[in-house]
Amino acid sequence: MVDVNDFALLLCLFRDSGGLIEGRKRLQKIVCTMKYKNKIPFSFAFRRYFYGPYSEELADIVDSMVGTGLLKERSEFLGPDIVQYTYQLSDKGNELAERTVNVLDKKLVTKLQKSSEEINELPTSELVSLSKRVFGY
Amino acid sequence: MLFIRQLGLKAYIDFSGAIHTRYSHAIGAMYLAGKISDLVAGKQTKTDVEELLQSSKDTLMAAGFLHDIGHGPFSHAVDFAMQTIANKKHEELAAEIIESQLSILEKSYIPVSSVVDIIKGNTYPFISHIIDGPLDVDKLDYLMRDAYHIGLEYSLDVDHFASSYMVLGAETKEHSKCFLGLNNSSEAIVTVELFVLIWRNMYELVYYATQSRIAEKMLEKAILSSRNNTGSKLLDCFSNLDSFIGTDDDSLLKILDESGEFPKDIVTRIREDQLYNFSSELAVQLNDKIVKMGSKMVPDLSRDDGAFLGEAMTVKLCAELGVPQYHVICDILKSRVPKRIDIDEYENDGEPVELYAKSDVLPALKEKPILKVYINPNVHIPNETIRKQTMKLIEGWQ
Repeated sequence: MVDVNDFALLLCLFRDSGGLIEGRKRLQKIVCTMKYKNKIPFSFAFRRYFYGPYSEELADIVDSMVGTGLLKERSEFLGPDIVQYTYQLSDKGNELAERTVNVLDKKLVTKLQKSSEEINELPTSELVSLSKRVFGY
Repeated sequence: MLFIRQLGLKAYIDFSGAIHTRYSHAIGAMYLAGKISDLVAGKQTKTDVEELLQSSKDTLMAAGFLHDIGHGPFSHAVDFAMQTIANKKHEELAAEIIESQLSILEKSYIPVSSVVDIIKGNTYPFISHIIDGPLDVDKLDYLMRDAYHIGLEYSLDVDHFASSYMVLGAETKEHSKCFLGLNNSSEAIVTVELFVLIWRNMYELVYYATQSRIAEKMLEKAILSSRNNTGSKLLDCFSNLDSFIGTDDDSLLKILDESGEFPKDIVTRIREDQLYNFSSELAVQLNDKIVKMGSKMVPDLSRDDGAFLGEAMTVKLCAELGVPQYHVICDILKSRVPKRIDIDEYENDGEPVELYAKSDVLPALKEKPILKVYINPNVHIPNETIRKQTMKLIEGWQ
């Protein structure tokens, strides 16, 4: 079950990801890698599908964040008929992030920021492979 | 199931023609489970998946018939209260009923344990998703059946739609990683968009119809108010399996009528159409920029269909307004949108393409949670005061 700590970590992740996260898939792989490689204490349960790890709990909370106006979802055409959705904190989300992130341990926030910087440099295809590896595929 | 109306209180309040029962829905879900298992098995080139689906067909049909057997009277209206009192989800209750009462299935070579595994999702996802997944037989049947009985003339060719289902990942030969998806065709995408639109419309027009929704929440609170009343037969009816099976819509109202002053008052109000009041100024759109939220709102909102958060806020709001328990009810309504649906198309990294990325319709159907406050007619507090207190509660929810 998702708790306030997960939500605070997620807000922190969005805040520290250079403004936006490109793609629903990328978000899943970032959180999975952070949880299993960098030991960031996300409690989202990931399930093993043939294409890689996926968390319905994470997808649900992101939908709730979009639904409550904390995240802005923007579309961008990747090909003639495929759209990629990017996610960014709204002003309302940023304001809540400032109030909420304080509940987290400062060392943990620093660790998350560092992990975020490392992961941000990886192209999505490498991140997909990395998340599979660290999840035990 | 013959004496539980599929639409619960909606059949009493808003849609008096819709008196179809859980039983007819169960028959429909059973039929569709068989049909989909044939259709999907018929198109698999990998014989092990095909064989598995074919050998599971009777079990899938039994699971389709029994998938809702753990729901109590008035169907979903009572789910949260029942779960709170019995500390069990309806899937767990269904498993208990099937295991304790339906060994007769074994005579037809249908293993009881396999039916239970499908209902609890403890089997290969491509099998359990036929009964409980984004494209399951439950939704396919109840949407079209409820619309028909209400008089909404939606049209969806279920056979044609189901023919676009397929098992994704079958080539990996790892059954635990395979799941149900759609073939990659414009016909399949347009048809699933129509299905999702019907789903969404049914929530807006029927399942969240204001008057019956208020009555459902009143009923939920009447049950919850009796949870500590040891003299009430209600506890027995939710904790004793035989009593639970014997309780239908009418007998539950009768039990509540005899369970104390508050439940009796609620039952009378429902029967006499003297429901709690609601006005649009007591609806808060949670995506509104001006609505500030505490840090627990989103985690609590995402844990279920909103019932948990609604109950917790109800208790707090009643206390802060100084009114008796459950005289003010907070109700969270979340537009239901499908969970991930994948199609048989793959990106360079081997990931399947989500329907969300191919459809213009799905991304437009976002979850838009609303908090509504319903007021007992005996409460005489101005709506403005209640709204202010509600906004304060949302902001301080941490």
